[in-house]
Amino acid sequence: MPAPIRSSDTPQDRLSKLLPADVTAAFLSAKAGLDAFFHEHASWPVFWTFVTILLLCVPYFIYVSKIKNVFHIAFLLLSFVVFALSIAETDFINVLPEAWKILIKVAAIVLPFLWTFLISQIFLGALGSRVEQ
Amino acid sequence: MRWCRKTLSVGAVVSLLLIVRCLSASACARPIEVDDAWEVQSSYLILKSSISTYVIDNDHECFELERAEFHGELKFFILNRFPEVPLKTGYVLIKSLRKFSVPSQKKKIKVSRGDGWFNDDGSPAIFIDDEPLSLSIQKWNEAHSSPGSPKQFKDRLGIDWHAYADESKSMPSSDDVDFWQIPDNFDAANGIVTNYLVRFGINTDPNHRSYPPFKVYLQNYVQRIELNLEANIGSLNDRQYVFQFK
Repeated sequence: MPAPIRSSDTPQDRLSKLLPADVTAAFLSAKAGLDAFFHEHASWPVFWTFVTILLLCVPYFIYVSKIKNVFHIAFLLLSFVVFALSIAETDFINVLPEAWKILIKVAAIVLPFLWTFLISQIFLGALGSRVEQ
Repeated sequence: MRWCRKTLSVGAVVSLLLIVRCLSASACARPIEVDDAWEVQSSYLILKSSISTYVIDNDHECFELERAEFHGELKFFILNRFPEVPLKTGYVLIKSLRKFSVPSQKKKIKVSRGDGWFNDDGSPAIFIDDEPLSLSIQKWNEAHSSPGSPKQFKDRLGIDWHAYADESKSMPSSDDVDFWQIPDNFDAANGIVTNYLVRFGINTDPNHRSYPPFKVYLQNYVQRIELNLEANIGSLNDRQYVFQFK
């Protein structure tokens, strides 16, 4: 169950609270472990961990979190993408085409703000409060 | 289930894009970007731009860089953490061969010297930044055809540049004259050689880092930079890195 969102939370805090703790914890702990093991060569393992968790999120949201609404699942998946991008920005830069570098850097700064302060509010307004406490 | 299939399809497309990206990669590698130089373990050379920190690792000899990112200079830093090295003073001698796409300036040889070096009389040597010499490449090579002390090289080169890394007049930068020779295949019409002396106190504390710097100027017409390193520390000794620009 996500933790309550407070007004004093940073965009990253808010993002992590939009998602189930299991998902954010899985990615955060995996990234920390991979960074400690591979150091500067951790980008590919971190990226594939992200892809794996993203794929596993779908059955997790459906069968564990019992979410049936397709838009809600899509919103949570996109929240995870934004969350991952904000904390693994350099790993994404190293893995994805170089032309995307500036885009990723800007997205990693702008998207968490946009997502937590604007898009999540629109989502909540449109589909009802499933994540707000 | 339909969503599972769609997500798997997206995953497959991403994988395909990444495979295509790997196959289309140029011969020169992209340097690895890191959040912080502190986490670097596999290399001792770091390159910084205003927005990124890169590892110049020893797995590659050629790196491709985005010219616009570096605003006219490549700022290199030596990652000074050598807990296993039993020395107090470290030095790195660097020979940079820059190739331009247009004929380069008349003075083909430049010298730089970082802080911490010592003159023949034991006094601290002054900092020198990109000082052009009036010597021809042939004269430079002739001057470096036989060993000598920094004082003797002052007479040969006409500049007080070679120096001692240690106050007790040990570790002269002129020790290995072969290293300073400019190779015969160097394109003198379109190239400039810059020679650097970098000296630092070796940090053996694994919980500490310092980053002795040196910078290589990157004019608009620079096509290629070849860096040759010689050092009294094994992990930095006898290294060669090539940088190409787009």
